[in-house]
Amino acid sequence: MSRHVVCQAQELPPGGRKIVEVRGRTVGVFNVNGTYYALLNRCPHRNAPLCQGVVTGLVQGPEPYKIEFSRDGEVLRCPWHGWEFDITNGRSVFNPHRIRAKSYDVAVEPADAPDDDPSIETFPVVVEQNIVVLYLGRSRPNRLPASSVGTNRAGTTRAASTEVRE
Amino acid sequence: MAIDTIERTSTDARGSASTRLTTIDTDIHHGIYSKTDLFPYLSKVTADRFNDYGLIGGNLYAYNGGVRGYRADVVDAHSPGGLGAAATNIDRTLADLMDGCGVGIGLLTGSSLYSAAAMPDLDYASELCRAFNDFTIEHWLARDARFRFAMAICPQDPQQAAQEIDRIGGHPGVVAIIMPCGAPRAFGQRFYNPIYEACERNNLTVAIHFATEGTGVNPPPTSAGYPTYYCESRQARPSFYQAHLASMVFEGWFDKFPTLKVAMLEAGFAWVPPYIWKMDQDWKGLRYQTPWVNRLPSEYILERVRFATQPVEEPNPPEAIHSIVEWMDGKNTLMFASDYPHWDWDDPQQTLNTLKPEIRQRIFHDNALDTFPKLRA
Amino acid sequence: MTLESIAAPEVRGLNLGQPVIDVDINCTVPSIEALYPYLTEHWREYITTSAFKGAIDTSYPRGAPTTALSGTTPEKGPAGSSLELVQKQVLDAWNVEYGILNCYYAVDGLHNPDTAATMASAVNDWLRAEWLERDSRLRASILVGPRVPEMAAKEIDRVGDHPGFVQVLLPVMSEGPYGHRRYWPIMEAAERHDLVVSLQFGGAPGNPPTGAGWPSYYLEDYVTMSQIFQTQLLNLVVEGVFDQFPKLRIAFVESGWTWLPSYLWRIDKDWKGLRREVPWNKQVPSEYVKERMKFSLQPLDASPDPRHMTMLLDQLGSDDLLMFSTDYPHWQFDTPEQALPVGLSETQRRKILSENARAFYRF
Repeated sequence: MSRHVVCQAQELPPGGRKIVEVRGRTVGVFNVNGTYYALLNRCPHRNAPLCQGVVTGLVQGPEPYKIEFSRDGEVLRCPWHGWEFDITNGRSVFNPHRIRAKSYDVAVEPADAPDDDPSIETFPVVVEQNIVVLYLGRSRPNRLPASSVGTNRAGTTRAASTEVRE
Repeated sequence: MAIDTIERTSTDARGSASTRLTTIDTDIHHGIYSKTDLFPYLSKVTADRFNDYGLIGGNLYAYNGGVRGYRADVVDAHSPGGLGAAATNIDRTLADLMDGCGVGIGLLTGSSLYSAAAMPDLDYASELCRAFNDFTIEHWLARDARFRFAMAICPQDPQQAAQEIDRIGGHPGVVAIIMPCGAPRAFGQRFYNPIYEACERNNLTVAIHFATEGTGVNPPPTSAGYPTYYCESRQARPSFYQAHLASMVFEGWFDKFPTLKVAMLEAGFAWVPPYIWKMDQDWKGLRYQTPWVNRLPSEYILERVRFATQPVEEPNPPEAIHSIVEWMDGKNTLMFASDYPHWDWDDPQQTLNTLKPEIRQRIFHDNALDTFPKLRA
Repeated sequence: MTLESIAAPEVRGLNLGQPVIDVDINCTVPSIEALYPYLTEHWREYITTSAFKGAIDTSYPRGAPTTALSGTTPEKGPAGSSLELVQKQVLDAWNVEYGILNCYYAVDGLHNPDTAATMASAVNDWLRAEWLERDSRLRASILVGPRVPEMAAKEIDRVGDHPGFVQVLLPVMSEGPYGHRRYWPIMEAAERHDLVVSLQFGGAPGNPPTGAGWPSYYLEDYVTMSQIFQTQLLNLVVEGVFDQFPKLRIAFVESGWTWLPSYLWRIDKDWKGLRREVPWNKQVPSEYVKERMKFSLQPLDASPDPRHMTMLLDQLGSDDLLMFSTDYPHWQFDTPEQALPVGLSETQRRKILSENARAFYRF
């Protein structure tokens, strides 16, 4: 994995985001209520700059005409065509491609195949001594489980190391 | 808001160079940034009224997609709401779309003033349209030779509309009129003849765009009244175009105005084949009611009507796009449109990339030249 | 293309090699007097002494060539009003196992809710007594007045358990789209009795037939009718009707279906970006359509090239959607041989001719 410094932690406050270019890829780094996440800045639909989209919450409808809004700040809506993605894990909020129930690898698939899961590649981002650091692997996707907030929480300090939670 | 901290990045994952060609974009929504943009072109009385009233009887269905209908990555968070966004910025359009996407000619189709077509006060509405037309000519057309203009008119007042067409229709940059599709009478009816006669005089194409459905003086947007949600209002758009097309065919419009072409903008196109099949079938048994129609309806339509591609179809399976294009003679009847800067726009470099190059060349360039004769001037 | 005078072809049936289920036989009330046995004295007196001719005020031209094939009009009454002719020209001629009568009588155009309800009840009683009870092959749709949905629900409750009634008839043109919550009493009642709700060509709601007002010619009206079906389809999905009523089935009758593949692609595409407006939908719109809806075969609205129809059937993505119909006595095909698309597989043929309808209507 390669290690890339994004910025000072205080430059990326809660609700903020930064879009950076690293090794030929564009990545959006988000601070969601104090936890950092990084997503590939490319929508699998038409390659839009996904991370420039609207940050919002999860909209669900338990029954007709009832709207439940939760997880404010954790959902990203693509600036073109409006597809929704969970910032915390890159998954599409409602897989719009899935028309058959099937298991699938958690991976980024080409946008052309309509049955594929259009999840977004995510990257580990950690705070090391008050610096926001992004790790890029090889082509293997990485996911930070939403529960794993220890290393990507703002305000923590950690000695620089190669140990990365995945 | 978080947008402030974003650094502009290059769009590094666009279509390959093989898809580049000089594109003619037949639907770019320019507009005014704020009401004050129109003041220099309005009388004092109207300017005051415009300031107070705005565009009354306007949009029934709020543009619920994107940010106020625009792409979130080109909208200016600080622009005044209600009249558009800084995506109506000329510099932005030139950089993003014209230079950025290889668009060689861009047809400006407005947006801010569409609701004037549904206003009951005909003089107020017409004056606003005149002002918008002058604003466009002075700011957009004069700024870059790649822009052309589909001028604004108020179809609900054909006399004033004809006067406006004669007033500026001779401008080299004006190549078409825009008729917003929500209307109390379908566009083939003789009520509108003064408009078409003026188009003939000025060699302008009749471009129909969706707007004003079910608002102002217009009837409910469907024959089942008013749908509830924005996603429904989008789907109703082809129904207007179909009503107007049927009207034009059966009122003999194509024979009455033999030199005029029709451009249908922003309703996609996969609806066209089943529609023309149906029209041909139904006509067989009811032909006697409109005996002046002496060719198959589909022949008139495929010969004289052109369809903008946006919002482009995404069939399942994707290969079905080839059938659709073939069934409607798409290599002759389709014209690329981006709909920049709206949220559901189509990137010129990523649209219909699986079509054969010679078909793409026609759709992205040649067909627009055939459809808007003044483009060749 | 030469100018020729075209008259409706002579009616003819065809044995398609198996018993068929015909989901659209148009049945017509011959006259208001035909309903007298099913009306109270008050209404007979009212009708006789007023100018009320019945629920017949629509823009549908009785005498147009498309309305009736040659030979379908009985000596007395309009085409579709004679049981004998229906038996001979449809049930026997096509080898029909079950035939569903759709009797549209424009009660939706009556603004007096009680008149509308009374007329609807009379029609349903007439259907039961003079059609269903005289030929066991026949089934029928329940006519209701949709303007006051609660009264429509009452009528469904009144007759819905009669085994001859298999669905509710709603004209596709309406005051408001049928997914709207004010129409839910109708959906609820239909689900209660396990009846299909069908939306059918026509209607007299007062709304113009197109979003661009009243067209000059009937032909325009006729051609653009499929648009209204599209409006209704999406509205039923996004208002959560299929989520709220998990057993409800919807049939589109005389809507055409060649527009369906491209329409489903479009609504699925938009839904992906606009889902949050209607988040109670648990799946893409096209999935609801495939699971809960079916479409009558006529009108085919076919391409002149038969190969296109084969491709279109593929594009539908399901063999379960279409149900055979003659749309008697309307002129939908020049010869009975043209009633079916060519190139159907054995399975498709069987499903279209009977099995889809058998499953859908629980025959």
